[in-house]
Amino acid sequence: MNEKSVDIEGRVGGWPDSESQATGATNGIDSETERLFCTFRLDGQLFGVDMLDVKEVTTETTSMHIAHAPDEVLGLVNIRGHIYLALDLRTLLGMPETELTGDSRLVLFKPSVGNAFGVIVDAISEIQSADPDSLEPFSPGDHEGLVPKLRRVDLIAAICKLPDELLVVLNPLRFLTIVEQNIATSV
Amino acid sequence: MKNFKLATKMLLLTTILMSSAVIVAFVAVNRLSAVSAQLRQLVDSTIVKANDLSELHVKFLASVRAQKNSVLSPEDDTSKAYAAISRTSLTEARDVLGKLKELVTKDRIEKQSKVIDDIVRAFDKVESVHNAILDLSVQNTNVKARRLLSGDVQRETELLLSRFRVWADDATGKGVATEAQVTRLRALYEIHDRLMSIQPIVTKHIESSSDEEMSIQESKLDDCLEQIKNGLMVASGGNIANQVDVTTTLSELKMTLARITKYSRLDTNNQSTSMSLNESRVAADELVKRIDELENLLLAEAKDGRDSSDAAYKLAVWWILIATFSGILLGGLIAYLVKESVTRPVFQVRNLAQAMAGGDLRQRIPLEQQDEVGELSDATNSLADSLTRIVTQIQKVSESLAGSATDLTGVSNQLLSQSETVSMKSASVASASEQLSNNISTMAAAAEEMSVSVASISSASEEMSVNVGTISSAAEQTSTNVGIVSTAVGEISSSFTDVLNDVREGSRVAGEASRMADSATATIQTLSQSGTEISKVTEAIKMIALQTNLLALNATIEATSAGEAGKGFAVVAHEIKELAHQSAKAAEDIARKIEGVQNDTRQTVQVIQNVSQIIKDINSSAGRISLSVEKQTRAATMISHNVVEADKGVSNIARSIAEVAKAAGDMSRNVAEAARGATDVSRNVGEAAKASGGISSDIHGVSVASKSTNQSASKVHESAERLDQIAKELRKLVGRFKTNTEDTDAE
Repeated sequence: MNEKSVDIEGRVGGWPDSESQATGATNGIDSETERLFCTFRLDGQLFGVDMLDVKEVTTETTSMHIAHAPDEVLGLVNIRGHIYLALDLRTLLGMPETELTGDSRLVLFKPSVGNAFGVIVDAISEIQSADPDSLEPFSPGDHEGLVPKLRRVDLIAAICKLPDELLVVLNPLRFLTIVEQNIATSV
Repeated sequence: MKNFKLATKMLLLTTILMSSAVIVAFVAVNRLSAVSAQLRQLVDSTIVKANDLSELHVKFLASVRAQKNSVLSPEDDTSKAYAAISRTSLTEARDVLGKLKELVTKDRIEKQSKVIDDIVRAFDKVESVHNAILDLSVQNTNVKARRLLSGDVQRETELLLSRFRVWADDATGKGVATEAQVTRLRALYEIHDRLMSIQPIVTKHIESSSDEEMSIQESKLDDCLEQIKNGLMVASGGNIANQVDVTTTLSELKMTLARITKYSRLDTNNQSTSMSLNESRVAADELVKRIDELENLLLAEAKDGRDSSDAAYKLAVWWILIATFSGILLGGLIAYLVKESVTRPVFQVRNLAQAMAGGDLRQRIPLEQQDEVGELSDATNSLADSLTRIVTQIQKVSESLAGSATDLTGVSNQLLSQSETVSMKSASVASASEQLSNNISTMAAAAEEMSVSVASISSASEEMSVNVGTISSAAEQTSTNVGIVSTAVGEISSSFTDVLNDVREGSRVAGEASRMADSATATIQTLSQSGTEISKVTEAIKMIALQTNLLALNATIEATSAGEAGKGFAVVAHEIKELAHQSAKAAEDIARKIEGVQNDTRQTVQVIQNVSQIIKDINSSAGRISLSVEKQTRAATMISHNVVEADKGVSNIARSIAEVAKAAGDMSRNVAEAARGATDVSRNVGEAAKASGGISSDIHGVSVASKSTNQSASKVHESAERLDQIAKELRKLVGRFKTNTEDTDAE
């Protein structure tokens, strides 16, 4: 827990209130018995985000493409009159692109995570509860604090060992950050 | 060699034949050119040489002849001309000889060169002799001498004689015959005499050829001249002046004579003649001998040439024959090889075709040949393959045909047995009707008898009564018989009707079944449609379950966000989610099952269609049966109708007989009436007999009809059996083809 807070403080200085909220929420649940993760599948692999960060899961995946947007941005999606930015999580994680299918879902995040955005996943899976013991913080470990730039690998927050497979817990706070950073560097 | 194309083989063959022909032609040309060279040599050298030789001979002989002419000719000019001719001929002969020598030296034949050298030597000799003879002959001394003699000597002698005559006249002219004058005349006479004898002496000298003769004549001549000189003194009479011209003339004569003798001494004519006769002859003979020798040699050479050309010809013939034979041998060998490579596979193909014709389809040609024959064998192999396939199919078809034929035979058997039953029944009817007819005949006879009895006997009414009773009982029996017939016919008819009904029922049932099958098909189609609709519904259920699931998820998220307050709601949301999951699974299940049902439905439809087809087949065969049974029913109905008529007739008879009985009761009272009644009876019985005859014939017709039915049934049966037979035969025929599949079956 300590490690994680340090990790977040060290790397993401951008959003003080979202961070405090997130850590607060994490702390709240952590202090209790278990954490809940909204899990989904990408390229057959199981990923998840903390359920407290999720606002909603919708079947609406038809997006309007934005000109000159980076590859990670699929477009804008209209959910009940509100416009959300849809990111392609596959591209973010460096997986090959695929067509949208009937199982494709849009996972929208709370405003505490980022302003009106969501990610497209291949298929939604269960709500997965996990013991803190089974969670293992993921840290690349080598040049901690030396590189101010985020890498794709920094999207991964922890690894959860489930009875039959591994669940990769992502940190949604960094999704938009990494996109913006990429735009800045490419320009 | 095996894998060459046929055309290549033929080309090879042709090439070999052509090359052997070329070789033969080359050898022939070569040998013939050798023969021709021999002949040319023979012609070029030997014949030319022989020609030259004969020309030489001719020239030489011409020269000799000219020489002889030159020698013999007395005239100077002609002699010279002949000599010139002779020289020319000899020069020509020399030229020819030179040419000949050149030829011979060119040919380098030693013997001939030697002989030609001999000839040249002999010719040189002959030429020298010849030239000498010619030189001599040209001089013609005798002729000159004679000319001098006849010219100068004559003139001078004449001159002297005239002088002497003057002297004689002078001596006599004085008229006084003195002694001196006489002496003078005597001397003159002697001188004259001597002078006259000179000429013969000279002539003799010229003529003679020997020296002794000549010297004798010369001495004689000298004597004469001396005497004339001596006599002059006397004769002149001392007159010196007169003597002067005489002496001059005499010396002139003397000189002339000396010239003559000189000429005569030379005697060229005789010399040349003798030379020509001796030396020249010898030389000429030598030359001719040499020439003959050369001629013989040339003949030998010609003979040699002929022999060698003959030998060359024979050699050429041998060469040509050997080349031809070797060409024929080689060509034959190659042709045999080519033929082997073509015919052997062709024979194999023929054997295969024969085996196929004999029904053996298992054989194949194991030929690894790339040419047209190989293709033929491959094609034959594939033909055998396809035949095997076809025969296998035919076998299968014939099997099923045999099955069908067996079925048909069963059906026809059944039909036959039924028709036999009918026939049997109709036969029994016929026999019954026969009996009826007999009975009626009996009855008729009895009635006849009765009529007669009634006519004659009036007292025997008792007997008649008995008789009538007999008739009555007979009529009753008849009635019974007819009743039996009627029953039997009715039975047949009813059994036919039953059969017909059964068949119709069968047909109807089949139609019903077909309709049912159709409706079943329709129902199943509907079922299939319903299944499709159900699957649509399950799709919708699945969709709804999905939505519900998502809703439950979102509800859970909301509940979790609400913290403690939303905990209960989270449980509910979870339950909803579970429910949605289960309903989705159930919908999945239903969809799967519906899919199975639809598959079954499709199969069922297929099966029902097959069944429908079978029912249609049954229906059509039932229709055929129905047709034949209807025919038979019609016949039976006709029988029945006839029997009913017979029954009616018999009833009539019975009624009439009853009437007769009644009349017989009255007869005792009125015989006349009875007699009338008996006549009626007789008439009625006659009618009955007629009717019963009709029945009998009708029933016979029925019997015939039923027999014909039976026959047609038998024919059907026969046809069925024949079909069966044909099926068996077909199977047997097909069985004749031995195929590999059969083999494996057998194994």
